[in-house]
Amino acid sequence: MQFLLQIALAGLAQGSLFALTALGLVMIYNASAVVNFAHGAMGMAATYVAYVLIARFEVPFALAFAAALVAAFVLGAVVQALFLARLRDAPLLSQVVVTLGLFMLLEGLVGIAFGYNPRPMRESIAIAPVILGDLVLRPQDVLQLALLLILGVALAAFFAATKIGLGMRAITENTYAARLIGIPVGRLLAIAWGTGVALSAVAAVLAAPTTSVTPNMMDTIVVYGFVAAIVGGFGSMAGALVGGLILGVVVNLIDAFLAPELAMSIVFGLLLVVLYVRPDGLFGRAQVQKV
Amino acid sequence: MSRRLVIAILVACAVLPIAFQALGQRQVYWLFVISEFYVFAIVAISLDLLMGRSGQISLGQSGFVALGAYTAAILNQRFNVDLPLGMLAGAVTAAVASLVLGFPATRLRGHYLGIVTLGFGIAIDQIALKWDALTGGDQGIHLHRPALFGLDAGTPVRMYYVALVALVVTVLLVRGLTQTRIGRAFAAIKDSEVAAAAMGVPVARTKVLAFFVSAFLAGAAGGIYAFLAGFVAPEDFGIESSLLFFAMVVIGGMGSIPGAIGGAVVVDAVKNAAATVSGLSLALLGGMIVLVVLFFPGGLKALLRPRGARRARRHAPKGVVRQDA
Repeated sequence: MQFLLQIALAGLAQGSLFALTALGLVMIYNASAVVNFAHGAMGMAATYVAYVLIARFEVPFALAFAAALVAAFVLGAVVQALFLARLRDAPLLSQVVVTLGLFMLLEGLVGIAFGYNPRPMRESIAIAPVILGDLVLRPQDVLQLALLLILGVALAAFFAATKIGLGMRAITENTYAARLIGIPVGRLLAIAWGTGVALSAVAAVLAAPTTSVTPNMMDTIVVYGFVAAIVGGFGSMAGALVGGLILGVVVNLIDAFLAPELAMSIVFGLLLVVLYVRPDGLFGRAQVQKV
Repeated sequence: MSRRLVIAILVACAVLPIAFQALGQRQVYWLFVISEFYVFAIVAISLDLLMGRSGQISLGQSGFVALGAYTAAILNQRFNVDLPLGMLAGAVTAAVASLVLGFPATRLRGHYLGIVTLGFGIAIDQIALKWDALTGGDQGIHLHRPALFGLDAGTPVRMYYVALVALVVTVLLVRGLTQTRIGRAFAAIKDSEVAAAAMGVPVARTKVLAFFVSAFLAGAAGGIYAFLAGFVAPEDFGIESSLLFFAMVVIGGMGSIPGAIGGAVVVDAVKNAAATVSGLSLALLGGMIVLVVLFFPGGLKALLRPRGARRARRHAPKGVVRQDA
């Protein structure tokens, strides 16, 4: 029982990374109807900002983390304004293709600049693990879960009460109508992309001590982020959050009791079953296609 | 493309091995590189059938190639099955897998398909590595020397012609298919699923069919590849190679056979030329994809088109998309 609880705990901690990635994906998807295949690569690129600041300039972790988030926000906003905005009227396939191209471009460029050798990143907080009865709580795990909950609440408040958040919901509902009533659609899309990519960067920087800093450090996490978003209905932020946490536990159960080498295969098998039974995810509502 | 140009290219491909004799020892290497390219071109055409003709995305095309290659290799290793049958068995296995994957996937909105096929590619890779009793794990499988209807086909020159003929047959098949009722149904779905459904096209069934034919061709290419290389291992079919096939289709310009082949030429050349610096070919191809989508939506096929057609296109009303054979 205690073993199971420990696995569940590790799963929730790992799942919080999937959830953070998925939240960013859904935010971008809701704003622009684009699935951002460069999501993980953009978070990875921002992590290199933190890495360089810490390793070369000995900047404190919190400051480097903040710098990575700013870099991620700028990267997301610039990509939206430079590339996606031009493709507003292009077929959806072109928009997805461009994000895939960006994924390859970013991973390749970082690979050329830094090489593919993994570089170590220290744990973000250096305090001893907390013992809670029979359970061991790693401070890193607590930090991940705490950040996910704080950001989840902040995002809910953002969409419920701020003018920018309400404007984004209007864009999700009907972009054309939003433009007509004077919502600055272009600027809000850039903000949504920036914020979404910043969420990916939060996951990437938190993952770095475990995955090490490499050009493909986010590849696995972002694929699980996709799965979490689909399970959550791709469009629901709460669904993405819960989906990520569930997935984290599932992956840790597979690692412990089945075959860790086949974790992703088993997850995709389960995803096919979920999609077969509920095509709009566990938490999604059926969508009617608008013509 | 003009008929004369096509014939000239075909003749050049057919006599290439003779010209290569001047290379001496190195001709074996170059024959392999070009034969391998023909196989890649088949996969590019298969992926273009899916993406360019029916508007669906696949990020796991190398998964189907792997299924075809492993099926051929395992049958060859255990039962001494030969090239034609091995290739066919590989194609059928990949096609059947596409049904398992395609039925739930095609019920869904387009981007889910990209993610599900991505997962499929990763899963095939993981399973090939893990199930070593069947696949030899990371040691791979060595094949027996291939034979074609009792004749020894194991020389590089003969395998070159096998690959070339397979490519030509694929081109003719896909060309023929796009001109049938089914091909027009693919195009209708690509333009608008709702409009296609309104016109009486069975959308889900047609999408699954596109997936099925695409996987069949990719599986056949995998089967040929296994005999060509004489060896099959998981690292040949990772997610990276799926991305390469994807890049071929996009850079070539979607919905065109000459485009897919041209894209395969460019991607294969970049991959081989930039192999020394890790990350370089990935960055170059990614950059090219971004540039193509932003500035040359027609890709290479727009450059390959005869001049008159290009001028006509420039004066065509905006928003009209032409379907090219």
